Amino acid sequence: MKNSKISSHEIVDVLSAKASISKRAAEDFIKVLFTLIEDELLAGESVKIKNLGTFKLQWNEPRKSVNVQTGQEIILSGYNKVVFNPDEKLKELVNQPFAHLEAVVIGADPITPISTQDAIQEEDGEDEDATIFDPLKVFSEQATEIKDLLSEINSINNTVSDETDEIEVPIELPTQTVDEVEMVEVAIEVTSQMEPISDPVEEVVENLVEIVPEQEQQPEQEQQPAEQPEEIISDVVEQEVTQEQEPVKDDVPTKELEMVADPTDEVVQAPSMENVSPPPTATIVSPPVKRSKNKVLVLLAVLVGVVGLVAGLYFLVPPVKQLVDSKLHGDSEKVAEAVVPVKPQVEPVEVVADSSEADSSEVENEATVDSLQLLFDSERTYDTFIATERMKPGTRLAKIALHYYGCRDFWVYIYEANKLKFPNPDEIPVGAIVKVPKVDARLIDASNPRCMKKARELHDLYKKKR
Amino acid sequence: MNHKELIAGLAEKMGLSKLEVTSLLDATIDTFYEELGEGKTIGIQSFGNFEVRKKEERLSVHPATQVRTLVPPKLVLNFKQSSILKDKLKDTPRNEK
Repeated sequence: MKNSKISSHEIVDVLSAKASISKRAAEDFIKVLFTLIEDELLAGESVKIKNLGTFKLQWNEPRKSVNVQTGQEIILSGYNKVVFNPDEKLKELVNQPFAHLEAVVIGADPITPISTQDAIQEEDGEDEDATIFDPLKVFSEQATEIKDLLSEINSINNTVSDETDEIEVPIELPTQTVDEVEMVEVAIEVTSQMEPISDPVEEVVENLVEIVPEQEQQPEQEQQPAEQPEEIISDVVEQEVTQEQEPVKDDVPTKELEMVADPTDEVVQAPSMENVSPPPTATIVSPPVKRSKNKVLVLLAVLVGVVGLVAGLYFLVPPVKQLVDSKLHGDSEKVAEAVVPVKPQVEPVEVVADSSEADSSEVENEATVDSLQLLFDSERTYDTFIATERMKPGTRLAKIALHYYGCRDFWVYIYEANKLKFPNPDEIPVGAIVKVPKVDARLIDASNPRCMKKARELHDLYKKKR
Repeated sequence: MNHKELIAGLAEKMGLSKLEVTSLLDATIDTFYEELGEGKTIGIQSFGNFEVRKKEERLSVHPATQVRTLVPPKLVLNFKQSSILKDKLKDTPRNEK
């Protein structure tokens, strides 16, 4: 910045030339102008000049200070000081070189993928904020209800465990029940974390349900190689998982948790068993269901637990997620088939079919997103250019980007195209010609948070390099 | 004292018409705009300096929401009174306005 100082003489020169008056007259005018302002200020008045600003007096309070040499306390008496408050126009003019800069919020970047725990915590906060939404209110109420139910079940589970052991001995389940009781304890924590995921918007609730089929697939994949007998259970688990989750979703609008849940439990149980598991296993598992209600509760709790664990695993371990996603596409159809026979009897089952459809669309979504990722990762080459810009004082790449791409954050692509010529993006000489490259429209989609994130990453990269 | 009163006062002191004073004042302000727009400092003798200063970028934290914001650098116009004016103001009483 040129920081040369202009004295009143030079102002007089310019003024005399401008107003075509003699220098003497101009000097007189300047002198009179400022003495007049001074007089007014001395009289305690403020002076307002149109387009320039306001001069006024500011009273500075007397304050204590210390004489640096003697260490004695002295009191500085209060005094008046002239302050100048420039007019808005003048302020803008002065700040023009930096006018294109905007304040940037740091840290609260919603785009960055964080670990599920963090995400859940964040959404938790949002939940609290957004309690105004009626559907959410209803849902959170029901979420607490379900939580209470689960903890009840859990306590029953502990007391009943002896009894169930006896019952299950012929079915070769004792070890598993113990395991599962532990799982339930863990799982209830997980589910309690999961429940808040459901966001104010109903879409998210739907998302939650969309996840369900994915979860159903997972137990199979995990347990198949490990233990054969468990597979039977997991099959049943899958069925019940659907039952568990359906009511949760249906509740949001209808508030009929228990009414829906009960019939589905009993009705779906039998047919689903026939559909999925071979006959012998059906006989093995069904007796306990009929024998005691507690048993049903235990199973229910276990299932919820498994769902919770699987969901946790699904979110926390990316490879698992990919595996599930890749298999999901094919498998989701199976799930739909398996459930369709039950349709005439139970309404909520439709939800599962729907959700599996929604799920496949989600998979497609991910496919496009991944192609975007590929685009991000691939080397960008700039062969075609849509324009050239001559750098003027105050021109910035960000400004050019705003003009051609609609968002200042995409300046990085212009910089990349001109990197060889101007290695430092902040020191492009005035008069230099900058080429504006043609960039893939998907890369400079300002409405896509991932594009913005990528641009910012590049921004950080180039800024740091300097 | 507002713009009108200032023009009236100047006209009276200089023996010029208000119209002439207005055009002169406008030309002066124009000059100020030009010089300050280029980032130059204007010094008026015995009155003070008009100076363009750069305020560096800074990180501000909203005290209530803890949202951190990077405030970009900016240029501001600063007026510093001359020591002559300061001495003259020494004996002025406290202004309650």
